[in-house]
Amino acid sequence: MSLVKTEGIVLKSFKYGDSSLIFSLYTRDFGKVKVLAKGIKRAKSRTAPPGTFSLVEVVFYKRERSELHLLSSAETLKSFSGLSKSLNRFSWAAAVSELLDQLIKGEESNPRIFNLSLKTLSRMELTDESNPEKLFWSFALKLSTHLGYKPKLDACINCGKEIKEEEVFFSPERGGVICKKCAKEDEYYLKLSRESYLIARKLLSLDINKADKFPVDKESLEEISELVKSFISYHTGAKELKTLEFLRKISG
Amino acid sequence: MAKLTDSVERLVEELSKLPGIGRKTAQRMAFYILKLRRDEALKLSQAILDVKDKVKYCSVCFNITEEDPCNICKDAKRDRSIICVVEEPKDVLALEKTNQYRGLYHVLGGVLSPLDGIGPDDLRTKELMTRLKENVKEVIIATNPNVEGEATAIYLAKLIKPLGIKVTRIARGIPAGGELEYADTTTLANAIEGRVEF
Ligand SMILES: [Zn+2]
Ligand SMILES: [Zn+2]
Repeated sequence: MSLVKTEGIVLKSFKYGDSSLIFSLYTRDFGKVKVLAKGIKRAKSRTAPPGTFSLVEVVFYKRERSELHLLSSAETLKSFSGLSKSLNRFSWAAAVSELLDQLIKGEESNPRIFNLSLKTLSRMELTDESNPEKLFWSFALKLSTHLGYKPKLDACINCGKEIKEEEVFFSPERGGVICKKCAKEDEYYLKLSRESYLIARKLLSLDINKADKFPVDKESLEEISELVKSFISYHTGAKELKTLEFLRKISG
Repeated sequence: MAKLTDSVERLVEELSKLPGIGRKTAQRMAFYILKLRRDEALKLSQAILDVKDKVKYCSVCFNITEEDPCNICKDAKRDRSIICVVEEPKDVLALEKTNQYRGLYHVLGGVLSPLDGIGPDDLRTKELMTRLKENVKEVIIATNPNVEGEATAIYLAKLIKPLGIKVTRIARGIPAGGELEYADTTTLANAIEGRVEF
């Protein structure tokens, strides 16, 4: 057992007994870890329980033979409290946290994913009320890229030529767009409008801080969300996020 | 480990399901119960059955009660123009202990939590809005000061404010008897933000 220090984002916390909590953290140095914070809910605890989405500096005893480590101390560096300012913002931030929790399997560090997640939450806290959803889909595209499955959107996956059609075909299975000439009769494709296609390219390639800087209409966002969901679920086996179901429910 | 007799084992198993009770404590309790007189044991088991059979939710505030409406809602001396919104019945208990608050309560039954699929319709939000039609002047939101509690508080405030009712949030800050030096940064930042004029 060794004492280690790192920074982490609080993905979720669970009650453990009366006064303890277990935190699921996505850390800079150790990937996704679970730490037990004994007695943290007691009034005299020196450490205040860090909130969901917050960036914390944690010191914990890393156990070799267990997946549950022991928290020694946690100091909140950034609470992202602005994420609670509306149910919409709060829910999309929860979607970021849930997607990370689903796609990151274990204790493997990936500083690029860590920085992306941090930037996404920071931006989500400050952006206009209508933007968190765009940021989420951009985050999801970039996250899958960092995990090793980058969707090919710049040109046809088969012939490499630029896509010029008004209606664009996307193959979740092959992970990219395909031109009409190369498309096969018996293969499944998602269809996107040209506008949605161009927006999806931007959401994938632009820095996350710029992904909310252009308008996207409702229909395009819907098409892009279908593209991202089918792509991610095909390549990772991930289930539909509970938060997306929740967002559908509250939007009526 | 030596095996206990079947009925003692069953009791230990049931007791260790209680919050904060490990197997060892459960065993100590089981042996204590074993030594009780029969009528004492009956009293304990009857008390457990009674809470299950007699206790229900108040149809006005959703606090737990044996009579409907509950004692707080029925009390003519309480200020009916203020409603304090809390997450759970145990929060009512905690606030009542202070003897500071003389208004009414409303128990939401939880907080908004997208990760658990809990939305406004899963809480007693509609019931609260209905109560607000009866000359309520102030709503104090006393959900817990964490992300979920805060999001719930802000959601409710946005819903209530257009009705022209004053909405307040309980203060957060340095615990009584605490020292600034030992407070974490979030708590300190909240204490500064929520400062009050002398
Ligand atoms: Zn082609
Ligand atoms: Zn009542």
